[in-house]
Amino acid sequence: MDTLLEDNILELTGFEIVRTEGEKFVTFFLDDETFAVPSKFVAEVDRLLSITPLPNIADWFSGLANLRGEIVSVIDLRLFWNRKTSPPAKAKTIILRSHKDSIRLAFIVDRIGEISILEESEREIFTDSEIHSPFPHTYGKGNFKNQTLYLLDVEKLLASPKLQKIYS
Amino acid sequence: MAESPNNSILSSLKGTIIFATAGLAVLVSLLSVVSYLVVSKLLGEPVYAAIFSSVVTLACISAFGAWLSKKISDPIQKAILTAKSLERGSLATLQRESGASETNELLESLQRVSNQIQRTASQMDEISSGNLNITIRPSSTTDKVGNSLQKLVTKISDSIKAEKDYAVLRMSLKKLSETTLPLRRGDLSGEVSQTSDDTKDLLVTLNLVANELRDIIKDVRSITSETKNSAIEIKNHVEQFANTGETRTKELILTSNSMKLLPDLVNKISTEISKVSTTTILSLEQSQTCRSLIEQTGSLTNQLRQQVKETTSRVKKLSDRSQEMEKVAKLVEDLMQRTNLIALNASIQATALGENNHGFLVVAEEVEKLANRANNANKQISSLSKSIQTEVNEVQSILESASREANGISRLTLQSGSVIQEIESQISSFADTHEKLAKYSENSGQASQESFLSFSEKLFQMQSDINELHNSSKQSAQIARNMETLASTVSNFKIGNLENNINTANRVEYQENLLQVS
Repeated sequence: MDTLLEDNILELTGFEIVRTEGEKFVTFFLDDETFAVPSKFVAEVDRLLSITPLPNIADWFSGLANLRGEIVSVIDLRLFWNRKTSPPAKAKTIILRSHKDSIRLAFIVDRIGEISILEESEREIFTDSEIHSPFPHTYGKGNFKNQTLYLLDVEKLLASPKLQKIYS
Repeated sequence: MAESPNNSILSSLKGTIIFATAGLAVLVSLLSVVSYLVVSKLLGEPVYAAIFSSVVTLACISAFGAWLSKKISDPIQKAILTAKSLERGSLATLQRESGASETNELLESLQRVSNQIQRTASQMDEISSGNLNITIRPSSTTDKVGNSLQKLVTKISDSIKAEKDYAVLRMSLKKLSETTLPLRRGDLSGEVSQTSDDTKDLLVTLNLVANELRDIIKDVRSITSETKNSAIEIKNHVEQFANTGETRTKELILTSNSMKLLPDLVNKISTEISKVSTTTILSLEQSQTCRSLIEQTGSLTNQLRQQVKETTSRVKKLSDRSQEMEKVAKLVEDLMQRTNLIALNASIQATALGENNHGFLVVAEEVEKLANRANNANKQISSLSKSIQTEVNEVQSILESASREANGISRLTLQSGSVIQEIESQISSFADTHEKLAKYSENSGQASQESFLSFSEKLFQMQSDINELHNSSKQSAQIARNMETLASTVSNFKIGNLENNINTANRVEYQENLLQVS
């Protein structure tokens, strides 16, 4: 079926389907930096959700949102990383896939980039001894279209004590 | 005080005399009768008996008279002696007389008088030794000595008190005199402090007067300074004015000399006017042609204004359309962003579905690319729309400017028409004026001569006024000097920095005190 579909697409649109290797990432922007989250962790991206704030909770925890009947907790990644700048008016949200039994998590970013495919050779993993991460919850950096992407460590983010404290 | 005798009639002198007289009458009668009977019996002669009884009667009466005299005169004599001794000032105790109570009472009265005088004397001794605290009680309202003594003590006490008060007052005045020494020397910089209660009111008044004086001196200083400056300024101005007047006078003298030549000049001008008259007629014809041209220009300018107005309206509509286009471009941009998000989500879903759904992934990617392309095209449209808007705005401003220019041209054309019309009328009137000028020029020589004489007279008056101004300048300088003298006189007073020494509250208090004093 795939081959047939590819042939049909080629015939109908003239676009040639090129198979690529490497991991796919969804890129996003915070201030002047570009970050990338592995697409396997991303459920979907959306505009800024309608968020209900919660009382007596940390300022980086924006609140809860109703995503087609499912409750999603939303955090402001900018405040979570103690960045003092303000988000733009047209901010976007990246909704992560459900992780174990906990509530699904979404985080607010300035804008969404595109799907980037990074070969292993294009990625550089941070090690504690050699290269220190300039941002928390990133495990490496990559180069895509002459642009440096900081790779978000979703598991580390979800396991962060601050977030765990909220969930508990 | 006289006391009525309370003794029995037997013990009183009056009783004694009555009883003694009655007893004597009875005794004398009995003796007369007895002696008459005895003698007449013995001698047998009644004449001798009558003579004898008369002799006995006379002897008894004489003896009674002698006794009575002794009984009355002795106490009176003693009383007289006592009164004399009292008169001499001897206040010895009197001996009580046995016998009649009247005399004893008289003596007792004298004794009481003596005691009273003695008490008065001892009180006067006390007073003379300086003890004025003694209490003097007159025995009655008719006790003249007691009342007089009481009045005397009161008067002496008052005199002593008055003397003390006078001494205290003298001391207070002396202190006040010392305290107010700076004031008398003209130093008003300080407030005179209170010395005593006696001079408090005086001091309050003095401070008030000093404060008022200080204000007056301040006012005088500022007024003298201001007056001096004003006088100097007036002097300078007047001098300047006089100098300018002199210069003007000199210039006017030159003008006066020139005026002598005026009649000849008028004649020459008359000749020139005749020449100009010919040219004027030619100018009138040319101006009429010019007016016709201007009217044509006005008509064309009005047409141009109408066209500009119409074009402006159309450009405005174009601008509105361009703005609507901008809104559509924004709507398309929003749609593209949503499409982009959908394409991205499709890619994510395709990735999640795995290798078997690679075709779906490709479609998603292509949708994303299409969205990007559409977005770019939209951006170009938006950019074009903006540039159209800018161009339209520029055209609008150019048209507005053109409209303004057309209005200006129209206005200028109208003005030019009216100006040309005015020129025409002026040229016409100029021709008439020429004739009048020719007539006037004949009389102007004489008029110029008269004007010259009048002018010379005014010039002389002006020179006289300038001399007066110089005098005023000297007077102003004198005023300035007088003000300096006054300021120097006032400067002898020291008022220091005691601005509002007696502030408003104190002033009110002073005035209240003053009211109390008054």
